[in-house]
Amino acid sequence: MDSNEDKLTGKALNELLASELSTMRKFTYSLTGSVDDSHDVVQIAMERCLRSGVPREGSRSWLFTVCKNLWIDEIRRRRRKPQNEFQEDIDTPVSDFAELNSTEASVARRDELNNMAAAFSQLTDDHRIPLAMSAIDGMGYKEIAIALEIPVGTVMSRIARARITLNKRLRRLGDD
Amino acid sequence: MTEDEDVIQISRLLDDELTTAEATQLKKRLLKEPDLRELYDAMAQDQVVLAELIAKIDEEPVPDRFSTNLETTDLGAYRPWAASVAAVLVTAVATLYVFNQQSGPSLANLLEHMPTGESASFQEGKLSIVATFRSESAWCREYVTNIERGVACREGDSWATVVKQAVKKAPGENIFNAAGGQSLVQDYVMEHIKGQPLSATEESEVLGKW
Repeated sequence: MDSNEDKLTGKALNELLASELSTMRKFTYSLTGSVDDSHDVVQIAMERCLRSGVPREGSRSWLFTVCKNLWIDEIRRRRRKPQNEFQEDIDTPVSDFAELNSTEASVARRDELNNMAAAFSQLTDDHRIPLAMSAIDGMGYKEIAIALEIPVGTVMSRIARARITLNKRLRRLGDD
Repeated sequence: MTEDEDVIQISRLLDDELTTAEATQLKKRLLKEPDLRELYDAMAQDQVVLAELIAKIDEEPVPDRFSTNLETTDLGAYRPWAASVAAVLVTAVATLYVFNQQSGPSLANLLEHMPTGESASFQEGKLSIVATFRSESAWCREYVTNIERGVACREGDSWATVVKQAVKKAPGENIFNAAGGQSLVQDYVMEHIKGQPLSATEESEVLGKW
């Protein structure tokens, strides 16, 4: 059983959450593809962490684990959305990703981002989540492995597989 | 080296996960092998665009509820040992304020239905629900508005504030602090909470029954 000494609580935990807020927002945005859903996940994750404390060791990874589990196991399931959350946005031009891109001055740049949003959305959770983590503030494979509770070798192969799948889909979208 | 192995090596290079020797060897190959270089360039470009896409959320404002959450739901501080210290103080400042009679039904409606973590406007500003918990005799909800932080408990079909405290936002800070320094609201929660604040699932069940 964890003792309180093994956990961050109070001011130290507040400081951790404040310092990781930007990272948590990016991660949950990459999970959900929606600003509102991202904020909901972060909100509940923060409450859970503040309520129960966060292990001192691997505290940053723990935050990612909480966010991921919240989205996949609770919130997304409760909302009865499809297995791939982004799937429903692919053919819909009003996804949050698209809204964010709408102010881009360059049409080519906007298309590039929209294609990325669509291709990234189509990745499975197993591929999309570690790839997103690697793209956020340079998380290392070891840190990702801890957060996802999988071996480092699996992280490595999943990210590589995600990248090549993403690239193939982007090429197809670019040809259309 | 197989194509799959090349992809893994390039991916590790992009993530700075190769050893110096491995990176040097791969970079030499990239100079000699156009197909490998093309794959590397494409994956590197994808990485840049993906990072840009994900970073788009930085352009969105951070909800106030995060700031209030960090200050108010220092739930790690819901320690039984602190309850006795807070008891006398809280009893002295606790007020009874029936929303249905004095603030209009909209605020009561928010307390009745809005999940923790969400925010909504009501006639006196914006309200965020911070936590839902069981006290000795009622369901209670901790909330924050633009001007005050409080706890309201459900009595019959009405909501009554049992403690509240003005909040202020310090210049340059992103966190609302209790105007009086010590959080009377937090002390009240520590004194009266039975168990832990409800999880999202537990709360959803309770809200559905009211």
